[in-house]
Amino acid sequence: MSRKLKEVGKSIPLRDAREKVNGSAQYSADIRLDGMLHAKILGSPYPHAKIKNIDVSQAKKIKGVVDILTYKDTVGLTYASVEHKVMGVFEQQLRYVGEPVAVVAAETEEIADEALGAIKVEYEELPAVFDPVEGAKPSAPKLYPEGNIAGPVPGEPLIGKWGDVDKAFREADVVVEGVFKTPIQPVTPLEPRACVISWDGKELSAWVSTQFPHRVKEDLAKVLGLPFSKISVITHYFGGGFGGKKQEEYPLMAALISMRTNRPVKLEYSREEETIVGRRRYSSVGIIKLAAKKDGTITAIDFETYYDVGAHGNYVGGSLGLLVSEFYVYKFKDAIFKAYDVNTNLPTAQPFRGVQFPAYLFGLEQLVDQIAEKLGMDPVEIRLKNTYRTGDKMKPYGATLSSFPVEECLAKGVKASGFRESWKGWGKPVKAEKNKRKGIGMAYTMGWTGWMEQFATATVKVYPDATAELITGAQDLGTGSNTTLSQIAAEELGIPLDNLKLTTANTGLTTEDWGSCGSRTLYCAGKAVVGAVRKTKEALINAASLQLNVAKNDVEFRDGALYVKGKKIPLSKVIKEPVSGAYKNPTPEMVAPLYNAVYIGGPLLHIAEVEVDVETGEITVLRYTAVQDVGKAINPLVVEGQMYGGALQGLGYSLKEELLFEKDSGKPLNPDFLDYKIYNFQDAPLVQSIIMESNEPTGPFGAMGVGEHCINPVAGAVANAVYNAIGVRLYEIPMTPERVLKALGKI
Amino acid sequence: MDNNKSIISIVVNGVMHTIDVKNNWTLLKVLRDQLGLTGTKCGCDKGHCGACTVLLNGKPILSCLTLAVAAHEQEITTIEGLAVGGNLHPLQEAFIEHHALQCGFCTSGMIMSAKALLDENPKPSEKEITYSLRGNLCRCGSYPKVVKAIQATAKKPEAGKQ
Repeated sequence: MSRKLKEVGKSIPLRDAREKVNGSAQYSADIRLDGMLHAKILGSPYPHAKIKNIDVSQAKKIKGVVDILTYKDTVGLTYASVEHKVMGVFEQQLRYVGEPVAVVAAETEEIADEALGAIKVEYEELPAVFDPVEGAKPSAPKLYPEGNIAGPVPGEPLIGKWGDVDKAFREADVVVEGVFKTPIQPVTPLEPRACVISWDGKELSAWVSTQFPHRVKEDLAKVLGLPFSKISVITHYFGGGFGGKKQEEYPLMAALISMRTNRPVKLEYSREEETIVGRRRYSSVGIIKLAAKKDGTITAIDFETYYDVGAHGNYVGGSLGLLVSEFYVYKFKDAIFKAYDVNTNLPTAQPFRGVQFPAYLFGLEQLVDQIAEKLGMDPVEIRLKNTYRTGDKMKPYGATLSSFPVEECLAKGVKASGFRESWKGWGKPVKAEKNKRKGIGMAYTMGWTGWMEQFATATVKVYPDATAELITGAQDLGTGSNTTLSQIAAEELGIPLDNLKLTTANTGLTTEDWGSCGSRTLYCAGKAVVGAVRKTKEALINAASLQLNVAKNDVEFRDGALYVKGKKIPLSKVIKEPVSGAYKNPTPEMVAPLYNAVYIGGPLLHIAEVEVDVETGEITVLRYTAVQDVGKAINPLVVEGQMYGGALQGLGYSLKEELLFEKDSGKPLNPDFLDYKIYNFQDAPLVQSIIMESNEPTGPFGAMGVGEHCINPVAGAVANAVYNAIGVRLYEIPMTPERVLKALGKI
Repeated sequence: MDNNKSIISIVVNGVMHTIDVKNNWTLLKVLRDQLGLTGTKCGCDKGHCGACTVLLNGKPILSCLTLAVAAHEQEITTIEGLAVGGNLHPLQEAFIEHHALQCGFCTSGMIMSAKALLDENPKPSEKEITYSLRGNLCRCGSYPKVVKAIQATAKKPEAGKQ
């Protein structure tokens, strides 16, 4: 880049920060419309039951009740989420405690609440299963006729393999293995899911808290039988999603009621509904085995995992990423991945930040350390020895790895964390004093960006006064993409950010986008933005060439003006009306279905230093260092926020977060913030975020997505640090004091 | 008059409102649904998350755990009341400048808690800040930058005087 960057790379405040700090930002639950009804959900009291009959007649008689919707009203109305099984708007067979049985819409919330109690439901209880390993057995109670294994081929596990794993293990010098367990982690965004849906007799406006507004539009069209052109899904402000808020039943319920009653309908989840009816991360049991040679070469992996994907989940919320994204981290010559995505009578799982990798790396990175320990190798050395590098052909289909400066990443992490000063070697804690043991440990992985790159578009419009408008369907899910995409557009146009208007967050006004997930937004939508600006520039140059009768080659557009042979000509002299350009990313070259020919993702290293109290079992994170190659930090403050947030959610996952259910009833025990503890100001560990910029050649200004992967290595890093401290490995997260004491044999 | 209802007078952001409320309505509900002040957020409705924090006579309270009738003849400040004539409060400015927010849903409550803290203790230590804001949860990961924003505000000479 010869020109000095003016907007990209600057830590400018979020463009919508003013609205967020002065209270004027309107989230979905803040929308108020005249005549708006309030809707409430009746949830199933049973984990598995069939509705034999449902009688709403008494509830309907309550003054102020306007409509009640049950499965009887929605027979045959299904929607096909990208990320879980096809679901009915209501199901007659209820598969978890809390699953919607009916929705009441009334003049007030209180009346709706009262009416819920007057609905009479006759249930036929069915046997339930809550454990994925149990659920995968043929003898388990079946949630679906095809059985509980929700792989791409129903009933079958998802298998990926290459090479000769048996031979690799036979010929191995070192074999390590472990059974690793991870908990259900609900998403817990501060904003509970909410929607306001308004059918005005002609068109439907739907304010929905979703990362996938375009997909929600498709669901609404299908269920309501409306053409796409009559539906606008609007998400101006969005209170956190982390993968959890995508396509769901509640906007469909509210929309049906709005069309039946010709009134706007608001449906807002309570905190408990957010945790239970909303989506969450699977729990898993992973059996991982690695084979290695004496020199530290890891030759093979044998990986078998059971993902509990809950009532309506499928492999997308469990194993999918393992098999499409290729980020196996290390160059396994031989491998078998066998994953059972198992439906259970628990809330529905779908991809949540990092999807399967936080669990995978919790096991994998502990086993890599075990090999290193057995061979007396340095933990950095073994990772460097086995990692992929720039330009490598990756298993299994030979995708080429793009820019991947792993040495630099590891060196930066080691230096910033003070690892060499702290690390005393295998079997030696950093410090042992009275009942306190200090330890340090690391975990390493690769990022991934560019999922569904071809489903990203942008339109740019330049006005005669050299101001511009960017129109994008990419949804800002609280990550700041409205700001970073604007920075990219302003930079490419060469105009000040203040002169760029952003139109987004309304499917009725914007161009198409797949949805915000998987660290794809900045990379995919960013590329589309650059493409759209370039198209617009071409159109401006064409216009100037015609208008001024000069050769196109003699015209350039920069800094918001046209230059003919170096002489500046104001835009207003050339165009009298706006000129626009639209762009859709091309479909990338593939090596196999879903596998791009070029793998784009940078290295990440996390290093944790912890103190374990061997009397109480308490783990304190003393110091946490995260290094991530982001290609180019379009806005460093935004990147830091993502890296910190990801690490903090990962630390919660490692040490304290676990959604629990009563053993036989399947009732959630801790669905609110009193009992489900996320970190707060006082106990949140400090995280040192080190941004690395390798300039990804395919990225917009060299950038890659950031937010997805920064959670992935955390549990592995913390577990390795705990092992270094106490000399005992933990195979289950969260690593609660109780589990630590058990591992130490003290209870 | 219905036994379940009361007429209350509350001063919200300097404006007196006399309104009919049910006795069991929370202040949060009244602020959002009756007065349309939706800047105050409902994250849990149980007093666990802090998103609904407002000031009652200058003290921070959880409006989801406070009955509206308990606010009768009291002064309430919400996030909408901090800016004066379009000029943001120094805390609001600092939150913007220091990127002390991501999705922004917890932000109103954070700023109100911070305002109460600085009004009482204009030069808080980092410990005092994290202690005072421990009831304001954030899932995106804004905590360290919120602390910075509050510290930066406290350093300004006019802090605490608004």
